[in-house]
Amino acid sequence: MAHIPDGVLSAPVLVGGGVLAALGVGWALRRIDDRAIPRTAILSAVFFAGSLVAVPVGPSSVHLLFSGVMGVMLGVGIVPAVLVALLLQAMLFGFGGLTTLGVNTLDIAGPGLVAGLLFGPAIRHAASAARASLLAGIAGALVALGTGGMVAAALWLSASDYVPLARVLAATYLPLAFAEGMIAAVIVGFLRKVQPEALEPRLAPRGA
Amino acid sequence: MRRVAILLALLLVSPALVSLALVSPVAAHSLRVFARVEGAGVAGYGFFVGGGRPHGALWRARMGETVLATGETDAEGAFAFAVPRPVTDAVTVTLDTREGHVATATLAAARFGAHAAPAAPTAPAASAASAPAAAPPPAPDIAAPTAPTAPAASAANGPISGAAAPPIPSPSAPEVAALVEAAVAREVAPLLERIEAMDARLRFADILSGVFLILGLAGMGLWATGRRR
Repeated sequence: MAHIPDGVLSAPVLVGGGVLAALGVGWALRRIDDRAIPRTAILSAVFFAGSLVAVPVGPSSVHLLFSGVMGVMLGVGIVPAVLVALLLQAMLFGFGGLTTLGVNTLDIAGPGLVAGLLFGPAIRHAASAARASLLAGIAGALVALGTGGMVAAALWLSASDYVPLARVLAATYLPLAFAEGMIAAVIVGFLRKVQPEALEPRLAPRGA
Repeated sequence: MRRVAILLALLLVSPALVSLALVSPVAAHSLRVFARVEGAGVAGYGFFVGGGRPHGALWRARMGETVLATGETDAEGAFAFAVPRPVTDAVTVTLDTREGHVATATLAAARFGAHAAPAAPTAPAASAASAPAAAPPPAPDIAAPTAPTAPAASAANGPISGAAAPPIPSPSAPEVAALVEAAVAREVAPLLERIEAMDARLRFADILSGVFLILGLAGMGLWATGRRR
């Protein structure tokens, strides 16, 4: 799914994905400070272990991404968090590949980052926990669909033999989007009640 | 202080997830292909690490660059196809679930064993076998090892019927080879399957090392930012 293996994508797509992911990591590392590091690492570990757990769904098998929650809690810190976890998944379990690391990072972290930027402020300033939860649910579901769309786009841009079918994509990603939305809603609703600051990415001010 | 508390809470979350990955039947997310030589062809199936088979996935078999066969996997994720002789190059099977999962299995030409070469004419050692001997190797459920010891002279005609009848025509060398190969293939198949599954298993030690490598990286990051000040 979001772990595209080696040997499927074309060189321009691989290079493009790698460059964009590197820019994202560079941007994040300039802004990350010692308050943000532990949180980034812990969410990276959650993503690493959590996205190994897959459930058979219809003709395929899906796993959670947590990228909506990561986008809200980490901001741009999601890029290194996902990169490190994917690197370890590729090295330890052969999920995905080393050449596709950039593209896979982009596919997962990109939609999460965008959702964090778009929905984050509204979630933080939501009048009630229920409202924050609802917004996070929507963000989580959209992020899963965004990842599906980006995976399809990467394969399509490569003009490979493996362009996904819309029918199969929908059968796979719609249940995932639903589950992802529910999980994001539960986590954000809980954090909003017990630890609202956790929803604020603690990044150093720009240029610091 | 509360921040410390939530970090601790999250720290507890990841081992919980890890144990979930180990205990429940669902596990890793990755497509693999299992393929083995079966008689004159190849059979196998795709599977997701930890559970689930890809139904209706597109498969394509190649020998070198030439496409041998294509099709869609059945409800068990299985496929099968015949391989034309001689086998000149490795046979690869690629599975595509058409939503981004692609996996390949390769069978080296050597795996096709005696089947790889076109059937050789009868070996000289055999006693002039009549018509039945030219037929394809008999079904492997015959007690093959007893055949070579039987006295060959009588050359009883009719199909080899196993049982206890002593006068059994001794099969030719290629036939014996084919019988042995079929028997070995049948015995080894479950082992190959098991090895493939074990290969694709998630190991607790690997998951833990991944988690702690990430935490170690965080420690190094903290040390680096601390030093900068």
